[in-house]
Amino acid sequence: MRQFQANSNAPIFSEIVAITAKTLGLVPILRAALLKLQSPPMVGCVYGSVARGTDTANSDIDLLLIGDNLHLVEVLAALEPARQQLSRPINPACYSPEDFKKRQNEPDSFVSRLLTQPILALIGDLHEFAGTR
Amino acid sequence: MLGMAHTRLSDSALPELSLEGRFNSVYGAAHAASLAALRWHGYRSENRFMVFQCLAHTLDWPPERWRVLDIAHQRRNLAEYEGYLEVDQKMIIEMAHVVRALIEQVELLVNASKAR
Repeated sequence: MRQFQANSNAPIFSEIVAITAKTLGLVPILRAALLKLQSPPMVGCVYGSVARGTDTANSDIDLLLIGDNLHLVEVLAALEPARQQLSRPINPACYSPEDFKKRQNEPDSFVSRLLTQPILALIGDLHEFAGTR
Repeated sequence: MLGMAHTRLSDSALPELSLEGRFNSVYGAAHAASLAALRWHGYRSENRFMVFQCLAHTLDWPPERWRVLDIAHQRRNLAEYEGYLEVDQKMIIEMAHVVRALIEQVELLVNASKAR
């Protein structure tokens, strides 16, 4: 097996690292930030244009988080270093497990529509939690 | 403007109001207080979202606080233009908590300048 690594002495090394982190590193960066919460979510994923791969430089990163004791101010504070690193606003939508299930049962709700769309898993398994696997 | 913010914040706690009504009230309180902060600094804005983002400068607020209101603004736009309101009681309570602090801080600004 051959392994390659970027030449850290190359004048464009830091730019390549930044590009890779912003495009390929989004998942581990967000996961690490969320796991620092006092009550980390049991399920977390990226949805929307970033998950579909249709995002542009102006796209926000939309997150779905399911867990107990998820407070928006705390979640935003935990995500702030990630927001700076990724240079894009992060929009978390936080649900308790009960609230998510309730909204899942509402026809044509945001939650029921999200379950039919592409996601990028960060923590846990959304479809296993929702029973849609 | 701060008087309106107080009234709207109180309205957001009325149990007889619908979820949408309570959300609109707390959002309206946030907007009125944020606009008051902007006006205190001598600025005006015709863009609703701008008054929340400017809290970083008008009140030195960290991003995790003003982004709660920024996210509320996005949810309000979704409701106005797409027809579905994705908020719950928990979010309204969190917003009310942030708006209470917002009103207090703006009042401190205003009272400090009156004392001079």
